[in-house]
Amino acid sequence: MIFDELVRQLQAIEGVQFAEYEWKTRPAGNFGTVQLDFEAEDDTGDDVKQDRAWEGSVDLYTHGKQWMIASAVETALETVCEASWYLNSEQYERETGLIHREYVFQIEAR
Amino acid sequence: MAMTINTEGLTEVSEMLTRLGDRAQDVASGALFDGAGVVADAFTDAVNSIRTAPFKYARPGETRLPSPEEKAALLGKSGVARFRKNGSEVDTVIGISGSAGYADVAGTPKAVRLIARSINSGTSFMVKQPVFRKAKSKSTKAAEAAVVAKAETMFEEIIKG
Repeated sequence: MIFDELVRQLQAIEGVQFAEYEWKTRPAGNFGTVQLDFEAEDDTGDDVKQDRAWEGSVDLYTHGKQWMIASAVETALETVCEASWYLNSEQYERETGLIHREYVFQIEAR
Repeated sequence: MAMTINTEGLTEVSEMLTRLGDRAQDVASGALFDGAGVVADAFTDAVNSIRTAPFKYARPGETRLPSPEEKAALLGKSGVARFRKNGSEVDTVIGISGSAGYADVAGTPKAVRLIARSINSGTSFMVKQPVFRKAKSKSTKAAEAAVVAKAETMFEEIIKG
């Protein structure tokens, strides 16, 4: 499945640990999660779903800006999702000092 | 938090409005009101669907669900902003705004859009529930259909005189 390929590429990035959906206990270093959120689009034909797309998100939490890691995440998204992704937000968590980037993507459900 | 929905693809409505001249803004406002209502209703449903758990500080390394108080602060705070004329267009904003009615640990009044954003995008200590992004995605087509239906009805009424 295309999603599995995205997970594999994210988990291969150096300097950050990625988990599917959630961490039971968060790592101390840079970390992230990747998940499918909901079905975004579907085309129905001949009483069956023909094409389906999932919308999902990648959350990256880093100590400091960590441009190299962010760039590697974006390369993984570009490779797997092509142009169907965007940086939804980048925010500083005052409580933890982490920078949180949220990427939203769409992929075919296959 | 507010979201933008682009309805530039509604070319038939656009052409219709051009033909209406001075009455165009009335039709645009009426149609936008119906479309915005669809999205605002979806936002209200989104708030109702948020999962909660009684508040406790997340232990280091763990995440927590929003508290029932945080969810309650969002109820009734979603809506449609005052319509504004923008040249030949009419703009509005659909979203969540206002104060939660309590302060954070630093004593700063907490804005509900901050709570909404924390729930929608998640934080390192808050479970992610992208209910508002889903609401926007799922309601856009229905909102566009409502805009077209209302514009056509108003257009016919004007033509009939």
